[in-house]
Amino acid sequence: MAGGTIGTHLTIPAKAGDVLVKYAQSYPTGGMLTATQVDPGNSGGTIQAVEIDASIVAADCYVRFWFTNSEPIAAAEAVKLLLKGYGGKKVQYTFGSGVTYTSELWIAVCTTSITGDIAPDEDLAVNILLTPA
Amino acid sequence: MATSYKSSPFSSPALQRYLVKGVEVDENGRVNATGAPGSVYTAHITGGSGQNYVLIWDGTAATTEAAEIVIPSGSGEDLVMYVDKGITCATAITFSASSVPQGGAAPSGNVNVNLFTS
Repeated sequence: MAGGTIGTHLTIPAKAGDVLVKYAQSYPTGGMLTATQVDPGNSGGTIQAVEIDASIVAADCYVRFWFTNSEPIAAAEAVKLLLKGYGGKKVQYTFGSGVTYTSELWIAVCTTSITGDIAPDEDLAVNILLTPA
Repeated sequence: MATSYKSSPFSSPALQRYLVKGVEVDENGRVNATGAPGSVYTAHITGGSGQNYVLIWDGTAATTEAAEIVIPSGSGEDLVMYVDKGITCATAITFSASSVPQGGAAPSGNVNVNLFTS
């Protein structure tokens, strides 16, 4: 079982075809980081926005994205997109024309940015608005 | 055109913002872009002739495999990223462009980066 859990894909009425992926990650202290498949389709898509809710997390965290058709080794495979979450805060990254990927989409949340494999100690949520191809 | 950077402060009694313009940003990047701590609210990335990445650090060095933000940019792509709360850089705002997400390698083609910061 990889990483976190994926909630229901919800259609956003503002734009037909967009989906909101609600990702929740919960680990015991010092849990090993693994990636979770966010978009199972291998035909790609476009990331429109990412909200990182670390409101109840004490420390900063990093959301790693991989564009690949097989589960990445979270601690070793180079990220394609990296965004920072701030402990005690909710932050939203919005991409004007979107970030395009041409494969499946995988993510993981880590206590360190590009290297390292330790997940945050506390629960956090990542909401991703994307347009599948 | 040679690599160049320009930071233009816009100030008011209660508000100060910078537009940091990076032309042909290289892998060494612009260290301490505004000369002070701050937050990045918007990044505008253009150019490049292949897959590139723009990296942002909170610090005074563009250290390989230590960036806090990595933004992919395709060939010739015109990408704008908005951050509602800003990317907080408590030490300094440092950014670079590279052909690899870890940083340290020269970008493919000429990558231009504009940052709107506090």
